[in-house]
Amino acid sequence: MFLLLKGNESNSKLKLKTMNYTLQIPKTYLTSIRLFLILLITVFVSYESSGQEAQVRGTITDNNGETLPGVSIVIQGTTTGTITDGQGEFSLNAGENDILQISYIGYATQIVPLNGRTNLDIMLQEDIEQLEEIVVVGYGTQKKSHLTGAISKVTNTNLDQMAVARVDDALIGQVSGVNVQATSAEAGAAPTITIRGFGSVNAATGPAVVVDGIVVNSDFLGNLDMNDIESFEVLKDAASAAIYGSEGSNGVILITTKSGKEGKTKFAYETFTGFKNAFGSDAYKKSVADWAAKEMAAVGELSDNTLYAQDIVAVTGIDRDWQDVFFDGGNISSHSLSARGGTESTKFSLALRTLGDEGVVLTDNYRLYSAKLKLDTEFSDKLKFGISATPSYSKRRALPTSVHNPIRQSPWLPIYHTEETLQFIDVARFPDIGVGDYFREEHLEERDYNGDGSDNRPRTSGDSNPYAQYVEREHFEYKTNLLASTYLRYKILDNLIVKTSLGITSEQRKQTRWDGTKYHAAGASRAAYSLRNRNRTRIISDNTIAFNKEMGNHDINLLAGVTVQKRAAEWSQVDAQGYANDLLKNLQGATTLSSAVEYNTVLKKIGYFGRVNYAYQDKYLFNASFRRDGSSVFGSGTKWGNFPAVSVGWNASDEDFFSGIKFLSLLKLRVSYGLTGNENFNLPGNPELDIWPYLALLKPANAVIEDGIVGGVAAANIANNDLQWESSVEFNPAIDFGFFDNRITGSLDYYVRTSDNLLLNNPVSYVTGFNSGIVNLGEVQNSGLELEIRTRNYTSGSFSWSSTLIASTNKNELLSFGESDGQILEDGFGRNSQWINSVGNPISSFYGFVVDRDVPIDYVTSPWIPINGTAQDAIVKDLNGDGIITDDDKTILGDPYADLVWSFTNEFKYGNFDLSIMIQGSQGAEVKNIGDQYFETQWQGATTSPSQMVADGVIPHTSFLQEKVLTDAVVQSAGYFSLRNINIGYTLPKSLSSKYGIENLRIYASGQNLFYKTSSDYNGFNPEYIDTNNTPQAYGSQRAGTPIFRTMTLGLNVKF
Amino acid sequence: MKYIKYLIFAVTGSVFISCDSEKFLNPLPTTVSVQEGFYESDEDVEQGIIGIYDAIQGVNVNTQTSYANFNRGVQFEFLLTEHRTDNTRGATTEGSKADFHRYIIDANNVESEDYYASMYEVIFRANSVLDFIEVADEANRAKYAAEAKFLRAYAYFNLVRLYGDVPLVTSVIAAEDDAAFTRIAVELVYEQIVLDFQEAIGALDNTYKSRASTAAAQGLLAKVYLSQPSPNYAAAQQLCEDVMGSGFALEASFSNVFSNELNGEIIFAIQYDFDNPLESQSFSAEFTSFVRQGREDGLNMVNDNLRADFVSAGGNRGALSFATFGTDSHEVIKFLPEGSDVTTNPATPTYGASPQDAGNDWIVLRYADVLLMHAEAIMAGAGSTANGSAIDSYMETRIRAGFDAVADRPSSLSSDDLLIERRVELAFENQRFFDLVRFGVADAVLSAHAAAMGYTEYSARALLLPIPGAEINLSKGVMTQNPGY
Repeated sequence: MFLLLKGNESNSKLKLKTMNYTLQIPKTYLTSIRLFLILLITVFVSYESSGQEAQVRGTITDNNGETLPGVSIVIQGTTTGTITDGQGEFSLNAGENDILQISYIGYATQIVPLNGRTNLDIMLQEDIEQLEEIVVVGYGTQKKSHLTGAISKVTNTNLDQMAVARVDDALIGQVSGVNVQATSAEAGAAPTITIRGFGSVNAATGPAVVVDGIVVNSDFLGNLDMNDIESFEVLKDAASAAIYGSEGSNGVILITTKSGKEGKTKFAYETFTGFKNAFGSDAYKKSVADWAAKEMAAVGELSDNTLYAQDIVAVTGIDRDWQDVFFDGGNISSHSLSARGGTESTKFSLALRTLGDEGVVLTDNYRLYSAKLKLDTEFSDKLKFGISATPSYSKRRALPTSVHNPIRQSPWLPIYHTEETLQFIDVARFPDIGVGDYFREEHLEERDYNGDGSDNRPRTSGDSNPYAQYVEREHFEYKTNLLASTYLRYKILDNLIVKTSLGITSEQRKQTRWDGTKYHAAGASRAAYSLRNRNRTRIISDNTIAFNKEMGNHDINLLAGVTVQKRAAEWSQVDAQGYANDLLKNLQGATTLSSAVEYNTVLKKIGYFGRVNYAYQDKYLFNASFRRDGSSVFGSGTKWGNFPAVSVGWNASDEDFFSGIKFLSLLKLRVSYGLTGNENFNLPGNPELDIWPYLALLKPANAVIEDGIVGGVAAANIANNDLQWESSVEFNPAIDFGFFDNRITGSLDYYVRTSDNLLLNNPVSYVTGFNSGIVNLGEVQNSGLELEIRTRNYTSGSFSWSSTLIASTNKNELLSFGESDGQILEDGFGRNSQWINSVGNPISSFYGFVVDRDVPIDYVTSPWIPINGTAQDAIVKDLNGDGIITDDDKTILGDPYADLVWSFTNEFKYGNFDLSIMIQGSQGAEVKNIGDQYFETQWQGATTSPSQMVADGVIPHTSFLQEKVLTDAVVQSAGYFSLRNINIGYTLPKSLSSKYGIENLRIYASGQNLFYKTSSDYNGFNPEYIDTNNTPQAYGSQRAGTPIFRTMTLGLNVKF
Repeated sequence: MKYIKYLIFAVTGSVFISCDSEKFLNPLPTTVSVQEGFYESDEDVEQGIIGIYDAIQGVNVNTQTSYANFNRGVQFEFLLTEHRTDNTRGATTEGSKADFHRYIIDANNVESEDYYASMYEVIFRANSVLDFIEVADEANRAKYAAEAKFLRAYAYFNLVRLYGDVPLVTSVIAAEDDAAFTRIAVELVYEQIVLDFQEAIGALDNTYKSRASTAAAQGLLAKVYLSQPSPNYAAAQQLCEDVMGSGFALEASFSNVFSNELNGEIIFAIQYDFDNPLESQSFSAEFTSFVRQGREDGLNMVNDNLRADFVSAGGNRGALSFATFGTDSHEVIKFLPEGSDVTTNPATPTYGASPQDAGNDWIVLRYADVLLMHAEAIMAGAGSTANGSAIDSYMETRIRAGFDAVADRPSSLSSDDLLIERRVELAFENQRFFDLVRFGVADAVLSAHAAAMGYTEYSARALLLPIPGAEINLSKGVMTQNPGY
């Protein structure tokens, strides 16, 4: 059967009898009936000979009913043919018994015998295999069958229907080996993308992002509209990424945006709207009623503080979990309008988008406006020119402080004072507090409830009103970004093409941080404002020359090029203090300006590259590339790095000896080996140190001398003139397979990536005057398996079902660490918790004591004040059995890297309905969640005398008591299982929509994270959250995190 | 269209040619200086000297919260000194700052580690300026070198008293140098300190109070002689008398000492600038608990034991040194942030516009300290002295405190009296811990105090702080820890 048509094939014969009636059938049904006719006739007429010539007319559409321009129609056995015009129509002269061959890239070729018809409406069916035939690779494209590296392609079919603020959020679960983690669930915040594990400690670990050939900052993903994106290609192995040299060591995401097509201008309007709400944590729910019940059960009477709190609750009726106030949910909506079209020589694409995303946490908000303009024109057969611009503007209100901070406050605490609450105020200290003022714990007068003579007031941690902590602080981030690029392409000969392109990205970020006069207990003296600006520009000039030639069995592609890049950044910051009120939340309102700083950096690179692709008989594939990069980050002796790669492939199923195996439709073996580099430092502190690590820099070190500020200098770093490229070698054998006529296809990749000469901010003795110096040290290996299986389970008539299974494993291991093996690092925020880098284990593993048991409640000082009877300390295990706890009893407690990340997607189509469901999960990672310390002990559960515990024989030695933050009590599983995405849609029948001039109309409902299950030992709000304020060595720590949330939306796509 | 072909070649080619890759790939910073090429003039060396003071001053914790990247200088010194005595304590048990007063500090304590790092940063900056001293004008060379050595000696003096044997480096060392992990005996460290202070005495003058001076070197060297394992009392006495003959005098009013910066009594102070996050300090805010202005719930809260001494021996100094807010919050008021008003309405004290960015100077050495050291030197380790000039010096601070020059003058001065006088005169000035050690009573006083307060983890190990665990770790176990840690 050559044609796939709507309707049931088994009815065809019956319809044949109705043939004579067709002309009387209303016009709207004509098209489909004609198609049936064509179908039926083709069954019978193939043997008939050609007859008289006549003009044949027709319209060609895709399976969505959209007309297709540029489709080739050829009379079989001749060279006579034509192509469809902008409206998808064609006409040509053909004999009544001629057979038309209709072909279009990405669609299955159809053979249509005319059988005397002169008017044809033909629907082409997308050919999945053919569509994927061309894959975008570094600086070019390649036939998929010729690929020898690990490149995954994600075509945007319905990613644009996911209600997420950023395109990277939609990539979760789409590609094996690519881990997209919601490290901050704040609206508009970037997720963390890791391809094949962490290979660096202090260098950047995120992939390079390339938009239409131009390398951009990964942050740029926040500016793109998914509706504008045609496809993503992810270069996972080093051999594929090595052509990007020093950009490629963490993988590369290539993004291709939609272009206009020849023909009538097509408009599209895409929108969705819905709401989001946070899951929260049951483990951290609090109420006075609950506390009292627990205390009564354990002690048999209530403490002073509990009685006092109950008294307040009785008056106000407020006894709530602050999560209910702070996780207030939010709305998300997006509108996108595009126009695409063009002539044979000039094609354009224009799009506008607005997105509003109100985060799920109080005050959290994000708004984005973006546009996309793309124009390609051919001056002649030889010369092509294109220009593209992606401007965007966003405004985000970020959370002023980690959510654990306000949420851990007392459940009895009202937001504002009322007439009723005034009775509790300590009037002597707070004579001016009245109705409507923020209620703070410290306002309470001390009372003696149990008559023991000591006055007290209920108190948890901090005296600020939690609501004020957020509402009275306004931390905004404004971004104005532009990516502009242009290219000229010239065909010197048919198979020799030169191309030069210039890309400019400009990112302007302004942050204003206003802390109002009422946010803190200390009042107006804490009011402050900070104005921060950052401008970044990146200019890239790429110049390539390519030669492509097929000669019989030989298919050869050559590429050579040079790329020159300059990245400049400017930071400035001014802080202001001295605000008497909240009227002017800017520099104008301040009495004092201070802390004015400015940093400028510039990084320059030159890269030379070349590549050979060779295929013999399309079966034996060879691919080699070489890149030489020079970077301003390194000193004269080490400036240049070489990044070679080689890969081979064998399309085994094309061999004759496989032709007998019927069930095997595709078998391809490929092996790749390549080298990539990394020079992108990511250290906290002065950005200059990242850019000039080989120079001895001096920083300002002013001091106050004789009441005036005098300029001074001091060394800023330990210069390392020998610093060289961090390099990664990757070996990637793989197999691609297809069974049963490719109803089951897939691939299995094994990779082992060894990163050497790690760029490391290595701790050094304080005696040197520093705490760290940048060195090349250590070797880390990431290895794993990646599996992708796609199946077409069932296709019959109007029903189809297909599935995709994606899974990847990763094992991270430190192979060597020189003298620093066993190095222990702390988080730098005074909590003393530790990480270790030791050979044979994952880099930056959690390190500490193992809990034996909890401290008996009899030894906990004031166990019910402020909360629930647990101690900040725990009794730990004496691992070496020497009767005393020392550093030798510490061990590795876990690591923050997932062992297995997977997704399973099922797609169903029935008539005009479609349904897609993705379940997704991650296993094997841990987080150091110190949220428990804030919510359960408020850091106040000190035990009574440890010596007493020794005397009573509870513990052998006082050292057996250790803070829980130093133990595995805070190491919790970060695994999860989620119903990540569900989408159900209905496409209006074309017969109906076309009445209103609409080409296509689809409505859908979609949900993300409708179900999200964390591990039972995880207590926080988001197992994927990572505190990014921390140093890279202290990766994986969180204080409960910003909450994971579910989203439910309704959407509409209209094309006209 | 032929010309376009050439245009493309031209554009492409120009990228190759125009790019002098050597020059292109070596951009230089514009917002930070490069050391190579910086130290060229006398002014440059002086800037390097100023940079050493910056390290002592430290970075305000309210401006930069990460301990990993910013040293606090002397701003948390009160935790390592006052909190470890019977003078003061923290209000809560939260966090590592609460470990000092309970004697449960471990080798990973962040503030202790920060102080160790801060002092070595001072030493490094001093050593690195000495590397470039030749660039300075010949007339200034000896002076700059002496100033760097003075500051180096000051840092070593703090280290040796807090940590015992410590690594001793007198030049810039590389990261892998074993000297960083070689603990040098206290006696040898003191030898270097003495040499450095002696050089400073000879080469400096008394121009500055907020930079090194001859008087400051004399006063500190006197303290060194009193503190070293075998004290040199005669030399200490002479040095004190040298300072006493250099024009310094007690301020008439005790409160003036703290409110009027660089007054006639100040010999050496580390200065801060009010309302300037980059040049201000955090401790003034941390000392306010009743209306919490600091990041913590109240640090340096005054112990009852000290309040009792103020009553018996403080004269008018008690009311000027601490105040009680609410029912039981006894707080230091010597260093109240600018604009504070705690007296108009004690129930609702206010602390000015910017208490977190306080500008109160940190007094390292003042004349009263020298007077009391003078008496101590004359007493020369005995239990008491009847020496008239020793008693004169002792009485000078007491008379200012309101005691009668005749009626309250003892015929014999006991070391206990002198210790109590130092306690009330210099309370909250980070002297008490060192005084107790120097007077040989630290273990007796502190163990009694710990027992009274229920700090059951006290042991004699508490007289030395642990070498930071990070250093032991980096040394691969070569570096030994202080006993008991």
